[in-house]
Amino acid sequence: MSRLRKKSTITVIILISLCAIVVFNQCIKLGSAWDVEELTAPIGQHPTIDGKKDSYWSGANTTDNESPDLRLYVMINSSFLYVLVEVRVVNHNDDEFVKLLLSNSTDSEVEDFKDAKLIQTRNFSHSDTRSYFTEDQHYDGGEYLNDSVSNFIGAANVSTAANSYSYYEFRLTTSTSAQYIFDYHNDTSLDFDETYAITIQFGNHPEGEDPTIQTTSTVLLSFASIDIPYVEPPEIRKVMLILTYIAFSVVGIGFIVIVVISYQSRMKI
Amino acid sequence: MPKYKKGKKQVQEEQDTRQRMSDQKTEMYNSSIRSLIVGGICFVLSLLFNGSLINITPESGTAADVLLILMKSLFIVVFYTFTLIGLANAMELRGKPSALREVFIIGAMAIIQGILSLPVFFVSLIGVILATLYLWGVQVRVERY
Repeated sequence: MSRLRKKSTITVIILISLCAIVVFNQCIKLGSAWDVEELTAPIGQHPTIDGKKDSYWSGANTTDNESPDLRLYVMINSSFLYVLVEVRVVNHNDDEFVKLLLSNSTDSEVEDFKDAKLIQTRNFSHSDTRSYFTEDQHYDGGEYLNDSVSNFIGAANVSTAANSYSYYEFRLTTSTSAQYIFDYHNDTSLDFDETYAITIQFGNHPEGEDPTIQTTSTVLLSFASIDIPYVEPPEIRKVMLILTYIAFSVVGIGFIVIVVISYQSRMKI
Repeated sequence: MPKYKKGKKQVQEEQDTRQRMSDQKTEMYNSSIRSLIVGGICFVLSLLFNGSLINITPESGTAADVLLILMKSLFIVVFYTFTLIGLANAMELRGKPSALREVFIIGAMAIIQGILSLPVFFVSLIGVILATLYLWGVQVRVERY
């Protein structure tokens, strides 16, 4: 009887210890917050969305998170919100992902983060076969489902520098933009006069398996409040420039034809 | 054998007339080439500024911004005017005066240069229309004279 009591006491102690470890771990996780509670996105320049941290990101505001070790960069330009997540992990998993969760207000209950932007990588450690895909998602019935229309572009890459950090770049469109395919039900209605709650999920999600997720605490996102002159995004500017060069080439050829016609007139004299 | 032998004076007059006409044609040719050179210079300047090879971005709505728009439009309008004059002179030398078709082609070649900026495009369009009216008015006056 005494042996049985001793056994059950040990079992209870083990269970309590296990619970304590879980709670302690949870506490550590909860304790891991962003450096700042509110982050203001300044006006910067349009970076190229290619998963590489170009020099334009030096104009962004940042905040750090300890576990997972992330640095968040934010800035705005014309009608776009640019977000860069720097994952400061040395050994990257092949199927790493970053999901940006957005709440339409400063509310930060799970169900308030109804909009999610996912960048999922594949073969991340192999530079030759490395790839990624993006998904615009919305929260419905306890899970995130894919939107039929995506209103953001994103890219992921790994730095070739010694630190080998991975970078996840997002470009989100505001609801005031004429180009915005706005989905009232599934997307955050981004307005630079408002403040939003955002949080980041980082983890691994191999195909056909359940994801391992680390979620950061919430950071409030506000925006620099000045009149932003409209600047076309780089890709539109590039198309316009190509069109202009085609136009100038056509005009140049036309002009040469005119010169040739005029030169031939000399023969008539 | 010609029935009438031309006098020395008559032959001289004919030679003078021919020489005068040849000089006139040479002058027209030179004028055509000069106009095309001006048109070509304006095309290169337009390519530099309207093609964004030289990128100056003054603050929107300022005097510098307006001045830049006017300058870009001026290159386009001068290109149009001088290229049209050059081509018209050259075609006249070939005995086939230019028609509306040439005006439209060169007009399109001119205003297409302003597609990168809406204000430049519209100012150029107005400039091209005014230049066409001016050239048409001059032509009518010359014909009357």
